Amino acid sequence: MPLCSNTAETVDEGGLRLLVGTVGTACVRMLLVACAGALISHVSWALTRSTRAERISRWTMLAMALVVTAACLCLWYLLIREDLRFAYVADYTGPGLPLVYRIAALWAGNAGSLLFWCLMLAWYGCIAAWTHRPQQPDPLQPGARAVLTVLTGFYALLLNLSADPFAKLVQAPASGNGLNPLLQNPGMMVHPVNLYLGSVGFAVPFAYAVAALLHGRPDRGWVIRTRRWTLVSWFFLTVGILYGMRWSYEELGWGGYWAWDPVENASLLPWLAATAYLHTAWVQERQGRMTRWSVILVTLTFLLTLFGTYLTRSGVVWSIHAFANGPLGAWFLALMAVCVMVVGALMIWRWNVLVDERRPTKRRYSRHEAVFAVNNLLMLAAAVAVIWGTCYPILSTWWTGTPRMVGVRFYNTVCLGMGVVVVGLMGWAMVWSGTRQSRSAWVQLWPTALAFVPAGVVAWLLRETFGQGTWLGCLGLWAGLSVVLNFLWDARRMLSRSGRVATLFAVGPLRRRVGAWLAHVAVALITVGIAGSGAFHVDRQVVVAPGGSLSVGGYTLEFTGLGTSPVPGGRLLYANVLVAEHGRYVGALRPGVMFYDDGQAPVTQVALNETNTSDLYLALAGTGTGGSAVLDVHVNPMTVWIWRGGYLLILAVFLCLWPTRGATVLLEDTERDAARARVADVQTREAAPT
Amino acid sequence: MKTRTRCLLRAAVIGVVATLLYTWDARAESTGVAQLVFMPDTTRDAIEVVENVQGPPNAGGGWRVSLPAGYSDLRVDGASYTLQGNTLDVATTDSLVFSFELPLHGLMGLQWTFVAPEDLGAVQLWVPEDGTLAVSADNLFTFTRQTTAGDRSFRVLTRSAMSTGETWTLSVQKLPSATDPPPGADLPALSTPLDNRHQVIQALSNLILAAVMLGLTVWGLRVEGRPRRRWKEARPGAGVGGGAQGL
Repeated sequence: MPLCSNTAETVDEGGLRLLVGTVGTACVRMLLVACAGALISHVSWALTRSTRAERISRWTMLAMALVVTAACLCLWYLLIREDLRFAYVADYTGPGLPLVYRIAALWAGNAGSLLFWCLMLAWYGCIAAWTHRPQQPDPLQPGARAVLTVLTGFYALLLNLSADPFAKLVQAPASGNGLNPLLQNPGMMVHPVNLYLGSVGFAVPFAYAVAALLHGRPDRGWVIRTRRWTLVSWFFLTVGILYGMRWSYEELGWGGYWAWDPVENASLLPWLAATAYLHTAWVQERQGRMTRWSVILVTLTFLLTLFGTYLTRSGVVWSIHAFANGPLGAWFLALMAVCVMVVGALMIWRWNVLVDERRPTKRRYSRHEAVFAVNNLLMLAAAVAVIWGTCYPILSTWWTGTPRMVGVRFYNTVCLGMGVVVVGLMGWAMVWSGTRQSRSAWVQLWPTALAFVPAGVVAWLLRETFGQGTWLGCLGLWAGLSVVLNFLWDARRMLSRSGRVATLFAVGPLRRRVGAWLAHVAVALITVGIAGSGAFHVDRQVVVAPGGSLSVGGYTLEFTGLGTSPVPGGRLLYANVLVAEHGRYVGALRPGVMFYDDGQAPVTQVALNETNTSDLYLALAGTGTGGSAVLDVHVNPMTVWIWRGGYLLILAVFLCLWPTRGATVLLEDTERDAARARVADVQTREAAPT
Repeated sequence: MKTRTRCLLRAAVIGVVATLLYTWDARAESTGVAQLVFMPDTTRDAIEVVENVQGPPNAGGGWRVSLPAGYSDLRVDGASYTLQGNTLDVATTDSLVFSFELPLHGLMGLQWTFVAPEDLGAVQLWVPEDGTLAVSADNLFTFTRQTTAGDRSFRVLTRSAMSTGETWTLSVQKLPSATDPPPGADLPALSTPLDNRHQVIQALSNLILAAVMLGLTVWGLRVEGRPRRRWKEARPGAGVGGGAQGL
């Protein structure tokens, strides 16, 4: 009797799972219908401008988001319940996979990650629509909603035609393939999620830019409306990249954090364009200038997110990150081509109105504008170099028939050179902090000049101690100090006015300024970390017998022997290494290799001792005869400051994102200016002789 | 004495493997099955491999079995066999049991390309459970099972069908038998991998951070979207931050 009951229960549950899969498929189909409906409603609103049409348009955005959410929930349910009748579930889950990785399996594969991408895009569109208040007319909303809907529709089309996450298998396998052991890491919840949140987020400023061009209003309005979207997307992209670096550093065992892998480059490219756009948008928001730069950079950022997706999903370049080869590449190429053509045509059409709102009276370019223009050019040049290096295997195959790759040296030479100039500009730009523009140049210069002293001392010490210096590191140090000193200078002035420290953080505009300062200090810290670990990195690969020792970068390592220990799911082979610093044992490190019971490829387990000044990084590269071990030893100075810079960046962006009403005022001012300009235009036309 | 023990052990394992083969899977009745049993040589840096190939009944033609480079001590059906080259041509189509030795080289161990001698419904890898050997390969099912042969316990890894001549790369690694911590292990560990609980906490922390940042963005959009009221920083011409540096 219990047997019958169990069987019935199993059948019921199997039936329920099948039903959930069917509902998921239906949701994916319905998404296309929802997108079409939403697009019609946006066009209708744009034509009629009625409140009812606006309401319908808003609800259709919510409907799209809810349909994608339902599809995701269905897939999550199947992944958690491990229904192997579905191909995606069989590919990315397996027996014993913890719940957290069953959830993460949603974005581990091609179809699931597209669905996840679509989920975020739909919700971003929904938030953009629902945070708009009908009482405050926004002429760009219909256009922006339409662009976001078209993009969501593109992903819906992909899910329906090319990458069905609910595809069923003819016969369910005995067990799932499981999630790749390298992906069973907390980074799976951090790195891809942040990268997706960042990359998808840039669709919103892009949509507004297109709407502004369509509407013939490429003034500050769209930049102000999308400031938060830009900032939070840039934040997610930055955190995603930093965590990816950390994951690579801890997991892959090659001793570094950035390998110039094509897919790593694919995430760096939109970041470069987005960073340039973030600064340009600031100039446009404040000064009403660099209008064309803003439109071009936001379009480029969006296109580069698509390019990254194309690289990961087309299989044109090999990468440890890439999904399997598939037909998706052609889809993304087509979307990129359409975007380029549409934005190009709109820009040509609206070229005459793509002009700066305010022109300086004395100079053609303001100092800020000049610095940011140089910054933009350098960022774009770096992006072009990275694109060239990434695509070189494809291009060389076309030309010569054999794929050729550029080495790490190419990227380092080009990007570090530009990095030095950009960091130098960053330190220098602080001299022209907006609040002190009226002061004389020499008064402004002193904090920046003072920062040269400690940076110079450090440069001299490095040269004396190690026989070499690092331009990038010293400039990073100088830039960071320059930012801090400039901040202290301004803070002292503000405190002398108000007399309260809380003033710095309490008032919105000042909080935003503090956030910006912290962000630049964070970037300076990251620069110091990159420069230190790059210039003073020591690595050795040695074969060492039990009882043998070696000295590397100030550490003495004594290898005492190999050991094995059973761990869940397999067995860990490790080398026991005693670490001594200045002749005193400080502890043991155990680099190892994890062997899995189910026959999956072994995974390196790095042993890492992090300190404020340097990381001792050990990886077990092999074993030899007689119990000897092949050890990969790296000493990476200052690496920890890269991650600390990341934490500071979180705080900085948190402060910048904290709501402030100033933007409303600025937006209303912009709307008022635009209205006045329209009235003046009409009056001029009426007054003109016919 | 040592050789005789090895031969007896091998014969026992072969016998058990052959017996288990017939009762293993329904697919064994219609298609061929290959089983590779790995046994580490405790005295040398080498492993012994027993390969049992079971063909489908009433199939015509012979087999061509490819042996890995560097093999030695080949035995077919328990008898020593000398072979020129690496290919063993067999006339029989029922079953074949043969064994050989392969040398291992440190952690890199052994990379062996297995070639399917006929259409196989499944290939099984029998790995001793005493932790002395680690085997890895692509296309393996994540589901494994345990079985015993003689007095030894094995973990059985399985992959699905292979067609005649299809290749499959296997990696075999001999692990040190010592499981006791080496001297000096009483010193504090400077680096310990995160356990499952901490991994989950770290993952959830990130999701919470992302949610907070998104929440802040939405809140900001709502606040900034409200109609204008009198605020002390809302001075005409002040702009956001009164012209201050800010993102």
